[in-house]
Amino acid sequence: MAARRTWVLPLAVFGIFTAFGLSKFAHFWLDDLAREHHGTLLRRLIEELTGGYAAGVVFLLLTWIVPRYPLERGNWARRLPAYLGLILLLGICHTTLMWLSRELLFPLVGLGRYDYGLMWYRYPMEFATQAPDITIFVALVHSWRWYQRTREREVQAARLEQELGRARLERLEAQLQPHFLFNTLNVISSLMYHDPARADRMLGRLSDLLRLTFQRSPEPEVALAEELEWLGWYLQIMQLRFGDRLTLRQDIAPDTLGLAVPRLLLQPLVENALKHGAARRAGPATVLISARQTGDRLLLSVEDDGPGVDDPATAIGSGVGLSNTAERLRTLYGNTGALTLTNRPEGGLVVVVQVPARHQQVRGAETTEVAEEVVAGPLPPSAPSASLR
Amino acid sequence: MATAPVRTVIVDDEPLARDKLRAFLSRHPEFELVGEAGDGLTAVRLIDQIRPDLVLLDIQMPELDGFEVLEALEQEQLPYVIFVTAYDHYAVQAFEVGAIDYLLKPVAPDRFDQALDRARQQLGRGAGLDLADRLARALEQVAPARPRVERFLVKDQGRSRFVAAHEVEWIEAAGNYLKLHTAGVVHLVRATMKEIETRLDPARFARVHRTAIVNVDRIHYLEPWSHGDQLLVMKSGERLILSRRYRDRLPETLAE
Repeated sequence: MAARRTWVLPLAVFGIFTAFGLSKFAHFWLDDLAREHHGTLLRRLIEELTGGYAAGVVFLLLTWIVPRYPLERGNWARRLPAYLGLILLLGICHTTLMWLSRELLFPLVGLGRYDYGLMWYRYPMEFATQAPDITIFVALVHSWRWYQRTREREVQAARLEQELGRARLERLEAQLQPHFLFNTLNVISSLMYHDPARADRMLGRLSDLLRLTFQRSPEPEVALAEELEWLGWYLQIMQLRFGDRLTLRQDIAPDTLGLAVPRLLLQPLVENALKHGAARRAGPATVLISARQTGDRLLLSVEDDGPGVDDPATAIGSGVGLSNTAERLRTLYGNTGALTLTNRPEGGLVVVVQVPARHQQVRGAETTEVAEEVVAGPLPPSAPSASLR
Repeated sequence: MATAPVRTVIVDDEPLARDKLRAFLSRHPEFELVGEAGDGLTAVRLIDQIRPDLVLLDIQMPELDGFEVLEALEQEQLPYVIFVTAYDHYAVQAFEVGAIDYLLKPVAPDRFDQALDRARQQLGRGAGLDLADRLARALEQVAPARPRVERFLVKDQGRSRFVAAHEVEWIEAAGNYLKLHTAGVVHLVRATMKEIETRLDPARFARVHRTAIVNVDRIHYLEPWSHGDQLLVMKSGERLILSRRYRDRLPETLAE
């Protein structure tokens, strides 16, 4: 990448100034023909190309000088006189370069000795057009530099934001409740006395869940089928802990299984439902988990038959599980994700999560795509998963 | 005196957790299991009815948590308590301060045996009143970490029932108890001013005196009184002193 860059600028400068030289050559040669001065082609070609390339050298010098001594808000008063001097100096350089190169080339191509006229007048004459041209060069290099820096800053900001988003996600995911962990361990240790096989199975489920929590997955999203498998492990444990008191039901539309959902989205929602249903009331409790697609949205809902909440509009902030979920949806989908709470008329709370219905991509392919996008510039808004990197 | 067995109750909402405590307890013939409860309300009724010596009490439970169970019991009903908790950082700190016994889940057999030994010694020494004080201190400690009080469990003509916080006009300190003044009826709950002040909604309740917390919605008007103190006239007609020390706890619209 760095090696490529060192060649790009000289090549571009060579091309552009060749074009300038040729354009001016055409101008003067055709002017000669119009005045019926014939046989000036070679002379004009050499004069204008040497003029163009000498200007290219001046430009290259500026691309070296300007980034090292740029005119900036704090220093322009101090550096402006230096730049005026520099413009004069570069003008002299340019004229000298043209003079010397023509002195060298003219005899070689058989045009004889080159006559540049009286140099007393030649230097100021050339400077009259060099001054505005070199000033434009200085401005061009400055604006290129400014553009580069702005872009770098943008890429940096995007990268920072992505890192922040990922750190936040990891923190949120790591909030596997210690209550859950220790209560589960307690129940498993109880099982060990009379049903070691079942205790072993539950230890397996708990380990699966812990592994999931510790996993540093690059992907913030998984297919719903995978999410439901994980949720199943959790539900088996909760069923074991609450026993007959708890009824769990699922109503999942088959066509939603391949759709992308935020990783570990459902577990905190179910945990919340249990907290407000089974864990608060002494009687039997039911939790219903459902998924369906409406248009371009995937709707996931978790219902309990607990007492509901006083004010569904403000309840999100009060439960840790729900406010984390709302924050994750915001980070992942911006305005295209939603979390809504409603009280069921028959009692109980419904938590509905809406996310864009997209098929979960194959693992691996997404990672490289995203890496390239970061290098290429600001991320397109249509790739929300990329903004989490 | 051939010691009578220690009458013990197990309170936990998870059946398997109770299984375990029961199994552990059965290895100690000097302890007799006299009852089990799977939620806080049942626990209060059970303890009220059978007056056990010892309760193994889970903290996180439906209906009433372990702390609320204790608050609902009258002082002379208080059994010796061993809390059993999965993970309550604040609670454990509070227990340390109040020298209250506790077990952490998963409960290990050796720890369980130690806790029972300690309980038997303390019970033999007759730790009754002392325990109530220690519990009160622990509850004050843990109050900031507990949810806001929305309702009080009170005894009403021998039955337990809930009184919503907003029904309470004012709260009066009375020894180890609080008197909840509601429309025409006064209920007793076992808690301290410090604890309850921390756990009440500060937008609705304000401490106005060392011995009084008022529901600001029930204040009618203020009158000047002596020494910079003021007189609070409640909508019910009751008059309370607003001590200078607590004047800034009232919402600004009322205080001046």
